Amino acid sequence: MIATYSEDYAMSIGNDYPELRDALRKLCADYPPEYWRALDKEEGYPDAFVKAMSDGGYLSSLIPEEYGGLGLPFRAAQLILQTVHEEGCNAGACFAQMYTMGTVLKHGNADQKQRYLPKIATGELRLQAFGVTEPGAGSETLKLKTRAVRHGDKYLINGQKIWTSRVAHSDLMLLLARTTPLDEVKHRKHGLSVFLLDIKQALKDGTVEIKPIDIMTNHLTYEVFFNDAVVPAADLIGEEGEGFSYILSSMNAERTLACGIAIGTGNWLTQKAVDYANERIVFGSPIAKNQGIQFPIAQAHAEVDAADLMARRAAALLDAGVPCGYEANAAKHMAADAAWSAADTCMQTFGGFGVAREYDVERVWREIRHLRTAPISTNLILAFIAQKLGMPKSY
Amino acid sequence: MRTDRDFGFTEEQLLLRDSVRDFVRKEMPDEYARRCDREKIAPLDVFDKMAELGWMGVAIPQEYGGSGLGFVELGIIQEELSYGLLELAILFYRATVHGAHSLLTYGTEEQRRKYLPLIAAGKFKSSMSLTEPNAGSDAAGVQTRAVRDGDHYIINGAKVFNSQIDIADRTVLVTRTDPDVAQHKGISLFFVDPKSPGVTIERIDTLCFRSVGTNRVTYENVRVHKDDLLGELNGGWKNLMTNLNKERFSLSAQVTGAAQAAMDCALQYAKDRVQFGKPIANFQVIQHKLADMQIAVHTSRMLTYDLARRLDAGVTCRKEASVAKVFTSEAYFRVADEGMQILGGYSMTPDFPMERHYRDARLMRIGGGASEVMRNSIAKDLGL
Repeated sequence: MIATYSEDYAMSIGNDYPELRDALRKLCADYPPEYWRALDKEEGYPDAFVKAMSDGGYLSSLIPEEYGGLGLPFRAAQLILQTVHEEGCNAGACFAQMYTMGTVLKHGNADQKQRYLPKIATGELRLQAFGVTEPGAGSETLKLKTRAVRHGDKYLINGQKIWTSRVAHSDLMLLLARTTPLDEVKHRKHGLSVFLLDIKQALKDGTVEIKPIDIMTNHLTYEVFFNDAVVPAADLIGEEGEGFSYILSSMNAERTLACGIAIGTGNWLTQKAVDYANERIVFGSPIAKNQGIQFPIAQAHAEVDAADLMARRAAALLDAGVPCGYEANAAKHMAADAAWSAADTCMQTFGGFGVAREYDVERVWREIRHLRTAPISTNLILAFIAQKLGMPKSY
Repeated sequence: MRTDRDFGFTEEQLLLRDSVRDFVRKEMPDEYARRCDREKIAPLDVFDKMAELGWMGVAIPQEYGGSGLGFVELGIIQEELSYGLLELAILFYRATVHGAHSLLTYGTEEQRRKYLPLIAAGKFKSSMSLTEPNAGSDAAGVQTRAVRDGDHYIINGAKVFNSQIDIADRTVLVTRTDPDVAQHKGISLFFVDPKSPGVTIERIDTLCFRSVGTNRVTYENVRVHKDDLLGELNGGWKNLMTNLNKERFSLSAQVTGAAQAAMDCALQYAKDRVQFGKPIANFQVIQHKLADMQIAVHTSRMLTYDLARRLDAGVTCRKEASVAKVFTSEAYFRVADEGMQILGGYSMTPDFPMERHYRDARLMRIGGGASEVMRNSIAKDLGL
């Protein structure tokens, strides 16, 4: 009843892109659980896997062919992520390379697109860091304080970001900074601007410093400090002061793609639980014979499947260019919850072995938890849906 | 000043609680708890200080060097220790309940005199070796064999998830002594020194409980003297069962304290964290989460001490023990999970204890009898 579209849009409900699925399964077979387990332990970056994904063109799937990308629909990109996670791999370290460039593609000028997109498509330039969140501005983006001040043909950036992932594995950072102080703007949604910052150079110059944050998963996220970091005016994306609306429009893509990760992971976990429950003999029969074991797994599977349909709808609308704030957010919410419940069920099915690292369940259980907090928290999605339903803003 | 949490305790019990609470604030502050978890340090220094205060003997009769108190006191100590670090409470529990109560309920007088004074003085740690790769929830399926050889038994087999055996002086080893009878009728217990020749201990890398940790153990022709048989030959299963209620009680007390700690952390964070111009504690959805956490912690505490009083009174309480274990462990997990949501991204960092609670809480729904096994047991007690 709060659908934002009036026409009917086609959406695949079957086994779409079979050749893409096959190719990815082959690719993923080279990165077995031991590979991910070792990386998790040493908190390493999956360089070999990311290179394979890049070489296969998968990370350029959303870049139009004229800029050297595959030019595939969002649904295909979503499915790429889903398949990778179904195969027990983890695209968390590189999937931002797929969509962060969307802001440049949509709002950048011809020169910027020509300069950056082909190199992003080949993987020569990695644009997978997105500087938005600050210590005092998490869910409340408009409160961000990092300043960008124009001096002639360049901007100087000062301030601090937090939870900026993959900074050390990026050449460029998409940065949201304040160009007009909050008390001087006409409308509170104005005054923020989007920049492409050459993060490699800035780190070399010492105008940007980064500090890794110690977290419970191997996610490589950082605090970032800007001290007169330089961005040429030619790397301001779109119009000055309009950054917030650009970012908002890119968020639907991020959420829709995140669904792929959640659903793929959910499917992996459910399968893992089924296999274990069928093999594990307790009290003389496979534990899968107990309703107490099989019902939670069946429930988790149904939830993941329902989220899959919602995710396909969000992707179909994005591909049709139809506004889909509700659909993208609702799908992400359901997918993150379903995957989390599949993780919890899988761990319970494994019993004590669920917490032993050699079975991989505990690692995936840890990894999937953060989808309920990032890229947007469950609370904020529910507040947004409630507003869409015509209830007052609650925050 | 006394608060709502004091209702139902005697003055002596409240004094004990206050002193444990002060001790934990001083000896197990957040930073140390974090270090224990991250660097896999068993807090034996704190254990030794507790021993000096005489707490190890709290539930051991005075004739064996203890102070002869009961389960309410045991619960108080475990709840408060767990507020600082769950595994500290478990360290205490394995020393005082597993070992001491095994001896008290089915040890010989000679064994009691030999070990209980040492346990009460905190100079002796024990461990429980039950779970095997193919005998988890179906515990009576143990395959580790003990075969008589003169005055000794020769033991061969493998155990898994054997916590604390690496720092224990003795472990209660569950073995099969008669393979030809119904499986629960051929089980015997031995009080084995883990440093005996033929015992190999290997740490298991885990999600949680990383301070004291858990191990995989193999027994290869390990010789154990017949005097170290605990209880009667082939009567081990029945003896093991007598201590299950005490284990479930202890786990309930522990998770209650840990849940209180997780809730206090979330409550403080909600008051401190400002978003949209006000502390997030002002938002109703956060308030409701905290209210649910309070309900969970309060109910857990009531179930725990109700069970303590039943154990002290010596009345049958298998159903109540299962109810308490399944409720309190699931409550702790809900508290930790909502705590994660309240702390947002910061919940993932070790700057706050929430991610540790979240990981530790997850095991409590599995260890010491999985939630499913508790429900099976409750259903059985309902006559189903």
